[in-house]
Amino acid sequence: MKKHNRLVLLAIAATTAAACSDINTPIYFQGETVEAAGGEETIPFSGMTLKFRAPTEKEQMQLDAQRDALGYDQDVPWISRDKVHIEVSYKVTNLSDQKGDFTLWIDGASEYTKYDVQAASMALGGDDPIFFPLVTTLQRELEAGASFSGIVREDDFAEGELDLDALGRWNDADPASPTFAGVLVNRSDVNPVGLNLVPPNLVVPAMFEIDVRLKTGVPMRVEYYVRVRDDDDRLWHNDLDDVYEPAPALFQPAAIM
Amino acid sequence: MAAAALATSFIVGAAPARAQVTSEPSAVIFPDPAKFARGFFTEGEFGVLWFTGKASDEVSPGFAVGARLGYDIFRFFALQLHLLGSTHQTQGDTPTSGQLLQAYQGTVEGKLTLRIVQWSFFAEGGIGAARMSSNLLYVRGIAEKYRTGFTFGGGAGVDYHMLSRHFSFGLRAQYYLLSELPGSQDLITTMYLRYTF
Repeated sequence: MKKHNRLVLLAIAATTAAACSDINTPIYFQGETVEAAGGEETIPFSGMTLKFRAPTEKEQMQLDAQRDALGYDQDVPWISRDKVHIEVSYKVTNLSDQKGDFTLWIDGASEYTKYDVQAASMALGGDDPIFFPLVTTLQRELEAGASFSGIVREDDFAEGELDLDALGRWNDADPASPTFAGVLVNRSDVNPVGLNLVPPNLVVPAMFEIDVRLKTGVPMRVEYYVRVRDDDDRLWHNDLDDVYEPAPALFQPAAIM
Repeated sequence: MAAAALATSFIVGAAPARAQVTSEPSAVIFPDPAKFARGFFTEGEFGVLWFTGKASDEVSPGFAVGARLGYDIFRFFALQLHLLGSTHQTQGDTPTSGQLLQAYQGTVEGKLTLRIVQWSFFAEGGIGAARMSSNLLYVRGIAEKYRTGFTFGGGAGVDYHMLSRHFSFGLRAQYYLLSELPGSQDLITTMYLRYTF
């Protein structure tokens, strides 16, 4: 009898815990739809800025203490990659009566650095524009009127966020291992070119500004949603909290001679 | 000689004994439902939860697991607390297709039971709250409220009591309306195991 009671209570506790556990509580934000005419020189985009609350005094003290402990003489980000995880899900529709290619580019800003693929291309100069997007999807072909749904995953963002911080705070101009555009054309786990100055114990800042660009050859539209997993409840949702207002510096590459 | 014959006739020639039956014996009911445990009970269940209506366009059916804790106030009526969680994947030609979504429901239910020996048939209904694990249906315009809302509904099922005094199992189906999902409902079908203390 007592053995039965224990088993039953255990079963109930297990099922209730499984049912009620808070293992998947992302927050979704709808982005503004982008329509591209196709072949534009300025790639059409829509941007989204995620609002975060400012750290409390206690939290700021913890960040300062963490900075001292890490020992690389740079601030520890409040919006960090290990606490804030971003994903973009999208649907691209071909609005034309002919098939065409599309690529989705994502750039934006962390609390320290902003990267604008269009501005970087202009800064590079040259007769033919050169684009180095921070995060990109594979180029896909869409039949007339067809659509494609896809996801830019959290690990794609994790890579882009490391690249963004490398460009902004750990930029190595050494031509043997240039941060620009070395980090943008290589996956850091495959070829860490351009990451020589990045400390191994770096707390990587996450992106809080996300710009989605649609590069197409024919008229197309992209609808997208940004999914955020906010481990430590840092997104702003309480009027009583101050909004965190970082001022990232725009990354500008040196012009090509 | 006469004495011996008298003694022998007493032994050999005794009249046979006869039972004193005054009426037909009643049929034995086995097992006797009166011996089944009654009072506090718990249930564990698993099954499938389907969304119907508008939400079904974008949310697939999902695995559901739940538990109940209740009390038999009478043989035919019980009150129970029901918790249920289910996991789903979004579907359809939308930007959010393929996302995971969980639904949690907690209700207080009343249950009417008709018992026929080891079998019983029941109807139940309740009211409570439902919560989504994310605001996905809200941003898609399917949910009216951000994540949490009221739910109410009911269902029916059949239960089979084992020869054990405490255990029974059964099947049930429930249909619940969700205030946060206007134009949508959920249909829950589960198998359960019940233990009555």
